[in-house]
Amino acid sequence: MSWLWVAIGGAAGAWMRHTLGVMLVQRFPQAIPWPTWLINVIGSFLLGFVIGCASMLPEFLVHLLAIGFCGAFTTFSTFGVEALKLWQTRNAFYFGAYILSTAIATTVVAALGLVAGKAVL
Amino acid sequence: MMKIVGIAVAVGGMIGALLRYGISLIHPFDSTMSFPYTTLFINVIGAAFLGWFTARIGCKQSLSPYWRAFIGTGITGAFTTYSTFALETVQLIQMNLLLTAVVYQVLTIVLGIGAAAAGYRCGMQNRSWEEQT
Repeated sequence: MSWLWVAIGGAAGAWMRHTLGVMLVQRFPQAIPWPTWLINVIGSFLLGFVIGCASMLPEFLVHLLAIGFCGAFTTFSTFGVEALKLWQTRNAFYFGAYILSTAIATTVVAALGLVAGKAVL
Repeated sequence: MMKIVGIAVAVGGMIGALLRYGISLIHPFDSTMSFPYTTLFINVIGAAFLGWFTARIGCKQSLSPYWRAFIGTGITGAFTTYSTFALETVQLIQMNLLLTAVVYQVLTIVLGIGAAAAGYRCGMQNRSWEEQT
């Protein structure tokens, strides 16, 4: 049954990423792709949180939220292609800033999420 | 139209997440394994595909926005993941494998963007060849 929860979470996560992305792009048309940045940071925190308190949650919910939702909500492929586009347009500064800030922010919030999730236990 | 695009993304997301889950079942990352190869593999393959796909659909209008949303945003977007990548980095740090965590980050980002560039180049070559003939 676990695949069913992954599928439902995956559909919801991808839909949320799309909807939030369209909304944010209209509001913040910037050189750095902030929508993807924000989505990956939020999703990393959420995954940390879910895994942090996973022992308290039923297994289906972990599949639904962690593997399904968070996994599909966040994306590496779009990040890679966006970074590539910054490189192609010779925005060396934005290219570096986008990569470094995503890498650092996602790692830090995943750790914070993990701590927050454990605190709930 | 926005609604149908949203449905296309959701169905694609379902497929992408299931593909990722399937691969992770074959090759799970646990604390006994020292390096999260599975996520690295998934993210690099997905980035290469999206690079290729982006180049292929760049000028062509033959592919409808529904298909683009289904394949690009849905399947590929949900197949690859940033949150697992971030969390695995934290888990490596927790295991006192700081160097491995740094190597994992650098390797994923360098290979991921490199793969996207390689895929993009392939897609552009196919496209110019098609446009000439």
